[in-house]
Amino acid sequence: MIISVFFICFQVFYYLVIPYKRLDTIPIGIESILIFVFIIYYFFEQFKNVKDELIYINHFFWVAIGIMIYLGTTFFFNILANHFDSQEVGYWFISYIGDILKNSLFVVGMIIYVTKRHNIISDDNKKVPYLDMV
Amino acid sequence: MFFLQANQSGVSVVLFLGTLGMVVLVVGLILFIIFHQRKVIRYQMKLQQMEQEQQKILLKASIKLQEEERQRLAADLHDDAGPLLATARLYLNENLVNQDKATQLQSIFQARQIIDDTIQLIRNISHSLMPPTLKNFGLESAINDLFQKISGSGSINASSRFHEYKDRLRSEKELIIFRVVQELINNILKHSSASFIHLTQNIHGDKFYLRIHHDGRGIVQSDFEKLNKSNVGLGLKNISSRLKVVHGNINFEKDISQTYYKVTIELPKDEPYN
Repeated sequence: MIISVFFICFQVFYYLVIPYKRLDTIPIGIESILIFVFIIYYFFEQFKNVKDELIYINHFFWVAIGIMIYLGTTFFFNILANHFDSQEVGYWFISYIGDILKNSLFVVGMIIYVTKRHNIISDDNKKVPYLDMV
Repeated sequence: MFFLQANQSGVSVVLFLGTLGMVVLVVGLILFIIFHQRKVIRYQMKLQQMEQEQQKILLKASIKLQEEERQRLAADLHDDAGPLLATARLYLNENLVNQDKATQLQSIFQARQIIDDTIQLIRNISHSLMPPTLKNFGLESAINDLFQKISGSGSINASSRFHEYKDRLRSEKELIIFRVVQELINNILKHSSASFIHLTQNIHGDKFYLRIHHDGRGIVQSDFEKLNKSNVGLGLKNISSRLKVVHGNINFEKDISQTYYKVTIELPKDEPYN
């Protein structure tokens, strides 16, 4: 929470003080690292209260790894974006690959979420109905 | 930050290698998370299974003990009380009225004697089920009584000392502790060839402690755990299951001087008995 507040302050400061370039590489880099840290912290917290359920049954896991894969693939691209020639803008495909992977993993997460919800609803339907005499 | 000064092809190499490295790192991290979690779950399941097996062994032991106790009671009633009452009945048969007065008196006296013996026998059976001293006067008196009886036999020196037992524990708890002590003493008498047994009680913080010392052959904690998991040592399993009920622990150890064995029972002190 404190780190996030600091980061927002830094973003505002960067926006106001540093002149505009092709891409805000430094804030993006810091943001990526912060999100990485938060995701690892999330997994660490998940480990602390391990249930019988496997982690990849949880839709949050797929969302988290989607974000991680996206940040992993685009991290260096975002950091080095300002050092490319105009011809090298073709490297955007790296970002697209990351985007496609992230969206695919989000879809997996969504499918898991919907399936789980459906199972919960069908479990509710299996409950014994009211059978007593009126 | 060498790549900042590097030429454009250098930047491309850094970009590709860096991205590849990051992807490998992320995939590695994900795989580590998945496999680690699976390992933890497997470990937990194994632990649960072991615990269930242990519970099953304890349950079996307690059922077996219950059955043995019932058999003992049945045998006591059938072999002792039954014949005594049957003999009394023989003395008091219909022919008694046809006998002379002296024979009648003799028969009645014999029958009375046998009935008195039967009453005493039934009282003993009842006392072995629930010692009256424990019920009426508490754990301290019951244990002191037990130790006096053992000492009275002359074969072993038994003594007990309660340091802090002003507030009695709940009666169910007292009975469980008494049974555990009885079982331990029984084991010592049967297997250890000890020349003395000494029991001390104390309270420290919110814990109630009982310690039994003896100078015979004994067991240490590792032996106890081994016997607890095996199919032998019914009495020890029973001690475990009884202590589990009162959230207690037992520890078997040898004294530093290596001259005697110590058995320590530890359990949470509860609210005073009213």
